[in-house]
Parts: sequence; structure tokens; C-alpha cells
Amino acid sequence: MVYFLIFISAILVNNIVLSQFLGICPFLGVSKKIDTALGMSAAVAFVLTVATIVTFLLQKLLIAWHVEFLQTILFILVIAALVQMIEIMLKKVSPSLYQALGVFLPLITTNCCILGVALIVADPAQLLVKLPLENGEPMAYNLLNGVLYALATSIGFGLALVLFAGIREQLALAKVPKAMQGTPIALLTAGLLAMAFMGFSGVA
Amino acid sequence: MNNALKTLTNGILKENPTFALVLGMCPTLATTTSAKNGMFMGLATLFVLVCSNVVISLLKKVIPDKVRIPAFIVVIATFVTVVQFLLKAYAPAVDEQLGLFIPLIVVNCIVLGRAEAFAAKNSVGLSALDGIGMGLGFTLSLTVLGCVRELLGNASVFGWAVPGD
Repeated sequence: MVYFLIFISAILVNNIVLSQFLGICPFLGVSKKIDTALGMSAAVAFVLTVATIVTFLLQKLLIAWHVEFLQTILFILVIAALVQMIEIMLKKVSPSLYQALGVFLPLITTNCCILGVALIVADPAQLLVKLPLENGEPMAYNLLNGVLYALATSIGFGLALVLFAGIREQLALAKVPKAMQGTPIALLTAGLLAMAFMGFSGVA
Repeated sequence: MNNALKTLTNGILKENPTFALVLGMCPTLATTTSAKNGMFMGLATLFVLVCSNVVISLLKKVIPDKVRIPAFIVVIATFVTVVQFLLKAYAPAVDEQLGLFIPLIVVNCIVLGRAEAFAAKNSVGLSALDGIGMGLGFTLSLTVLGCVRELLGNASVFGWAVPGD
């Protein structure tokens, strides 16, 4: 039940893009077509889940060695290295997937929802998203629910991205007033989508 | 001289990071709930931007081309850590408000973008000016957004209540 709540909470109620404001850059940047949006979401889901596992374990080491101040530097290095590694691996193992994701992989390093989720899971003091209550206290992240949270977050990211891309594909055919073309209408659309997601608040 | 002035003002109006380039939208949307928060977020980014631009410009001949992005990120992350500790020590209330978004300056596209597009190609002096200009442009737009949002949400600007009802 708790795990189910994590999923509902991360995908709908506290959607990473539409209510936490993380990962806005790819949300606006690669949402012109549903295909590219799906590719980006898949790449993010992969990196986000793996990065969360690695950084969660790394945080334990940092605390054990009393070098917590290195957190920001090490986390971003781990993420950059992981992205690079995944790129090399994909090139060998599945060239077709590599072709499909190609352009998006290097972009993921600077996607703030990856570092954001890693920091949230590693350091409960920075919690933006409280986990479901357990005996009246928000429960802490352990490896299992941290990973589930990361997975659910990336599904939420994908959902927002694909919805937004679908709307923008329709918008490309619509007659938009000259002053609103391009970024303004995209931002307005994103705002309306965020308002729609506000309807979920209080569900879980 | 003319060139220096151009570099400085470029980021404030013509290539304003938020309103013209649409970069760094995450802190722009997330931290501008009040004018003060927006301003502090802008100033923190300004500091990181200037420092990282200067250091990267100094190191541009030393850093091999192939590993330049990770190298830039390490430089940026170092200064972000400095900002984190400065804010924790001198402005703990602000640190609490901005929270997660301070470490996330590392992945702000403007900082890496300027490092790659400007600091890696230009002299130290110009890079510093570019950092100041871009940082001021970012601070300005965040503060303006914060003012509007605070006015709409709380009927105040910088914590001062706006008279009338």
C-alpha cells in the first residue's frame, strides 16, 4: 500500500515537472514531437533510476567518512560519468536504441530532475515530497522506496512530457496570434497543464 | 572599452537569460514566489556565474577538449558548494527558503551555457564582465517576476504591504 502511495504521489500529486518545477528545460526543449518526448522520457527514466541507486549508496560513504560537503560535486560527477557510461554501453549493446536516444543522452547531465531527485533521496532534510506517514511521522527513504520514488518520478516526468508534446503537436496546426507564437504559447500551455494537475492535490 | 561595455549590457537586455534565451527556467519558476527569494536566487547564480567564468577562462588552455564538460561542471559545483556554505552561515532563513534549488545551480543551463559559449573562448576580463552582465540580467528578471508574483499572491512587494484593499 505504501509503495502504491509513493507511485500515485510522485506521478500525479507531486508531479516533478508540473508541481515541483524540476526538469523544466527538457520539458520546454524537447516537447515538439511525441516521438522525441518518448525517447527523452525513456532515457531520463533509465539514468534517474541508476543514478539514484548509486548516489544513495555514495551518500552513506560520505557520511561515514565525514565529507558531506563534497555532496554536490560528487553527485554531479557521478551523474555525468553514468550518462557517459550509458552512452558507451548503448552504442555497443543496442545501436538502434542509441540512435533513437542519441541527441538526448548528453543533455540529461544538466537535467535538474536527476540531481534534484538524487539530493532529495540522499538527504531527507531537503525533502520536497514527503513520503506517506508511518506512525504519524513521514517515513525516511531507504534504498527500496528511494528507487521506487525515482522510478515513479521518471514516469511522472514522461507523462507530463508526452501530454505537453501532444498538445504542442496540435498547436503547431492552430492559428496562433503573432505575438504569442513560439515560447509564450508554450509557457501558457504548460501553465494550464500545471493547473489541471493541481486538481490531484490532496489525493494521496 | 566599447567592446567591454557591449559584453556587460548584452546579458541584461539583448540576451537576457530568462526573457530572451529562455534558459534556467527551473529556478525562475520555482523560486520567484516572492521578490526577496527571486533576488537572492539571482544573486547566488550571479556569484557562481562570475567565479566560474573567470576560472574557466583562466583554465581554457589547460583543459583538454574531450573532457571539457565534466571539467566545467566540477568548477561550477565547487563554487556552488561555496555559495551553499556562505548562505548557511550568513543567511540561514534564505537558505531554508531556497533549499534544494541552491545545489541545483550546478545544473542551471545558463552557467554551463556561458562557460561553453563565452568563457572557453574569451579573455578573463571579458568573461568576468559577461558573467556580471548575464548574472545581473538573471537577477533582474527573477526579481521582477518575484515582485509580480508576490503582488498577486500576497499583496506585498519585498515584504512591504501594498496599501488599499
